Amino acid sequence: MTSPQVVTQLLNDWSKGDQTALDQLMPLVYAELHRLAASYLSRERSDHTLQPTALVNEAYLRLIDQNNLAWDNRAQFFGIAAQMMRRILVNHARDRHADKRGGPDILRVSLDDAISFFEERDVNLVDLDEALTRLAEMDQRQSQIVELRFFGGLTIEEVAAQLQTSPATVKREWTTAKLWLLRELSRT
Amino acid sequence: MAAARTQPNLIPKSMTPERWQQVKGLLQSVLEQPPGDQTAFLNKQTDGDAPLRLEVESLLEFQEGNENFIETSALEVTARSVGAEAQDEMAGEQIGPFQVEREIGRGGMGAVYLAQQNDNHYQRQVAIKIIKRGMDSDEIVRRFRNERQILAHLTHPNIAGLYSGGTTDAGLPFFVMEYVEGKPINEYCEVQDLSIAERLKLFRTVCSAISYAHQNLVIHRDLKPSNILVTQDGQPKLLDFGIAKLLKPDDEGALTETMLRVMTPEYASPEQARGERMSTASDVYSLGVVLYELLTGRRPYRLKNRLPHEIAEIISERVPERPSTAIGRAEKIPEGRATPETTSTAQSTGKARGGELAKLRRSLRGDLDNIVLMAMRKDPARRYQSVEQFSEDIRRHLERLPVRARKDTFDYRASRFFLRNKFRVAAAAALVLVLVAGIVATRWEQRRAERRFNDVRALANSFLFEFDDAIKDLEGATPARELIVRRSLQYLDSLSRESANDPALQLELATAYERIGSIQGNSYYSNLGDTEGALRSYQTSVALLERIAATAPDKRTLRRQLAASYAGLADLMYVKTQLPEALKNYDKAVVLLRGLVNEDQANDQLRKDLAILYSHLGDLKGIPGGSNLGDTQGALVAHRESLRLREELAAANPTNYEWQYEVASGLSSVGFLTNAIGDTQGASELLRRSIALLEGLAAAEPNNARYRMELLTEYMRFGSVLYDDGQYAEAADFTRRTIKQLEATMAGESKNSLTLYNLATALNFLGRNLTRMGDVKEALIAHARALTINEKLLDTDPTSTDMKRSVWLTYQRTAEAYFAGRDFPAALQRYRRAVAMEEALLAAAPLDGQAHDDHSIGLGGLGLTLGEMGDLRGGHDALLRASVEAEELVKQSPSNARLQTRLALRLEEQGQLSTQLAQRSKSGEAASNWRASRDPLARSLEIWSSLRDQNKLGRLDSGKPEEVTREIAKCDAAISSGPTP
Repeated sequence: MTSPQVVTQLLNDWSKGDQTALDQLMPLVYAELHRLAASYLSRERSDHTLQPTALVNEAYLRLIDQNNLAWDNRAQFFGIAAQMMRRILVNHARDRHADKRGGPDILRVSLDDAISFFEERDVNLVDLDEALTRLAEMDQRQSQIVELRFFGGLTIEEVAAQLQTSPATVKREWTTAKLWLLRELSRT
Repeated sequence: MAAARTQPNLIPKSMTPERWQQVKGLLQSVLEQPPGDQTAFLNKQTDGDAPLRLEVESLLEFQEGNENFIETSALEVTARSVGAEAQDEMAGEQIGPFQVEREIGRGGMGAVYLAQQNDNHYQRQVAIKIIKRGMDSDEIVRRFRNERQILAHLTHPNIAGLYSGGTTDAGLPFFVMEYVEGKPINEYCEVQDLSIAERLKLFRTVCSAISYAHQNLVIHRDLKPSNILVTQDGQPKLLDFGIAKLLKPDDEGALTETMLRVMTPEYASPEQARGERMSTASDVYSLGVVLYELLTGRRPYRLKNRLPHEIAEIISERVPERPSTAIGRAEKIPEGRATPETTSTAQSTGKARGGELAKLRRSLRGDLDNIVLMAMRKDPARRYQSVEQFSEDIRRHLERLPVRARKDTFDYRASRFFLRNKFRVAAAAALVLVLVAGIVATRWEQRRAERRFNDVRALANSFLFEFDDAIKDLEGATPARELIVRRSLQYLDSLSRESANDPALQLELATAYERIGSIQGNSYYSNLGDTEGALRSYQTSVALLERIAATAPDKRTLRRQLAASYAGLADLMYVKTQLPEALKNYDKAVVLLRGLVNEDQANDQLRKDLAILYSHLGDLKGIPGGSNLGDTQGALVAHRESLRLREELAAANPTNYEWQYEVASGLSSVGFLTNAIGDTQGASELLRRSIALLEGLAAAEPNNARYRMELLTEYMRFGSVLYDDGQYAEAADFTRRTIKQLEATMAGESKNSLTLYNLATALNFLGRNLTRMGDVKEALIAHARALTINEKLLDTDPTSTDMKRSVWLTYQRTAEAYFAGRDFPAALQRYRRAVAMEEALLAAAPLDGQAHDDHSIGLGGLGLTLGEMGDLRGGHDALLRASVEAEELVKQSPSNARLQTRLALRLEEQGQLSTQLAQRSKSGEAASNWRASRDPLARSLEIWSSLRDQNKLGRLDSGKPEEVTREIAKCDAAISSGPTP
């Protein structure tokens, strides 16, 4: 069982710029998400619905030391979960193409499934990641909105709350960012 | 907008933040406009700033796809599959009587667990394979229920048994199998350090298990080392037999990403990779790959991380390296992503087999290279025909006997088109045999039988309709077609007994019976010469259809099939010279088909069917040379109608060879009939057009035996027009060419009765021309050859009228040759046989106009021969009977100039013999004898004159009116001079 203190500490380290902290964090957070997803699904087997934010929220509650005031930022945790998701998936997709295995082994099949899900919809996660990085150079906030929405699973309203702006603005930014990304992904 | 889509590649990849703010701001305001106003709004806003307008336009072009783009979050998708996988982890769970102990494997299709069965029946360890979520659970469970019986009966010491299956509480399908503790075969070979011979022996044990399964109609479909475990005592055990089919039964559709994860593409056969139907040959292929890997330590292709279509392309196109070459590569075996199999290196393989690389190479070079590559050939039909054959070849190699496998060279591939067809034929026939034998010979439980019933029905139909179509014009296809017919009938008979209450199936069966009938013996198609069997099939078809038609008379498919079956039945009755019955059935078919054509004017196929029907009707009414009702005019009308339809169709489909073929045969029939009414000029023109078309077709498709055969028939017909025009030498020339080509065809085909029949006909025709040219000796040789062929043909189909007629013709022509050579006793003997043959035909079909014509001709020759031999009375009587018969025929068909010519000849001959009798008679009888001579001569003159008036007098007969006039004058003189006192 992972101690909340350890996770919290790693998160703190990572937010201060320690990249190795994320490498240690990922399997921990993933294991928790894994367990949670399983229990969610078995509870709601009838229709297999799943609210991603509820999942992350619960993971947060379980993983983070609630007494550590230095890390009392639920919003930040969502941001981290989104970044983590992005990194894990994109790394796995990239490794897959580079003939290497990526990601924690127990998740391999699940990650393959997720990547295939997007490939079948013409979304190449590696290309998307690169385009998103270029978007960040032009418009940091827009890139962040996409990251939170797409990789973090937040709704428009949740993103708005997170970024302390109006849902209408988030929606406008989201729509135009997607247009730009689509155009970038259509480059051959 | 889409039409003028900007190339995204031409737009810079990024811009300054400031520029992007400007673009984005404008983009957002444009998006707020109603879609119809956006362009105008944008133009107004960017007045004079073209780059800005282009930038925004190029983004707006993606509006359509934007709605759904990345709206489902990656977190949700991943969490769902993580959750699904986590949920499916079963360790510690109880599934029915099975206590799950631990996971022992995980792959694309799910996970395998070791479990303990504890119930009243068994205390044992089992393997439980749980199919992961996302596959179509309901379908899998349903298929499993259908398959379990056959899989449970698959008991073989080298096949892991399938015990049971079901669904878990979570609704996931699972299969309970014999737990096998062992290593994948490739790993086992490495660990045990097996020599090549030992590996081959082990592999042969695997083959025997697969062969056993194939005999039980189960194809593995997913053979790979991880499915072939070897236990500690060295026994191979095959896992997952039949499971692949449960997961994906249809073989349809190309590879998908999902499928790729389920199967291991390195072992997939080309047909599997392309999503085509799999067969036992697919298992042969996969086994070939396994053996390749066992011998070389490598897999033939590197497929990892390729797109599905690339994989299919590589497997279908790329020629694998020969094992003896591949073994040198120090390259690692690519690992399957989903199946963590052990890897081995060429180095370790080499070491394990205790030899240096060069030595290993030598032992693989030659036989083993050929054996492995033969199993892995791209074309399933060119692989080993069975796993048993594959295994047998390995045994031969082990015992240093010559092997079956040969190097697959380019020359071989390029030069063996013909041979390849034969392979295809044999392989397909073998498959039909296996499938049909399956349903006939085994008695499985009802549900099983139903499922197979549908499978076999679909397959057999496909073979009957597509396969026979595909091979019927190939030379050498006859034995395969015979086999198909025999097996298909067995199964159709059993099906029709069981399916009386299923109209859809009955319609299908009726169609199949009709089709079989045409393969068995419809003389209008390349057939197997079994007219009795064909008649039975057609009658069964019509009876089935009339029964369904009583309940649904308006259904188009039904009417159409009924028309086809009536027509087929009529064709057969025609062949069996049940002429009035044939006419009745043709008429029924014409009525139905004309109705269908009127309802659907644009349907080419219907019009083609009608055109063909008219031509058959025309043949029946009066085509010369076959049985007919003697109605030449009716025949010409029907054939002209048929030709009209054909020409319309050909004009509408100018690139389609088949329509041109139909036009050619239409021209030929009309030409032949035109010749029959005496218009030689018109006939040769029509036949020349037909020949020109057919020569073009035969050149375009040199392998099409039907085109070539029809061309030969045309040559023959044209020859006979030349003959009728007195051009014997030209006709003989034409005929010799025909014979040469027919003999070439015979080299590849000995049983096709149509070819033999045509050859005999051509030989007879050649003989006839030679006789006319005075070369009796050569003529007799040709006729003798024809007789040998004809007797053989009649032997195989003793009731066939065509064959009997062909025999008659040979006797007749032989007799004519002897007569011309003035060997009258020999001629007499042949004429008697000819007449007897026709009398037998007439006894069976008293209304057959052709039989009457032939009989009359035979009698005429008989009469003349008797006269030459001094029996004037006997000769006269025979000629009298001949002319009476000919007179009847002319009455039935007043426009037929050929019949009139023959009548005029018989009358003249009769008159001449009568004249001779008068000359020799005693004085008291002379006057009445002279008068008896005059009447037929006068009638003969009447006919000759009328023919001359119609310009239908053949060149040979051009002097006839004068000749007969002189003979009449002689009679008149004798009569008027009165009895000598």
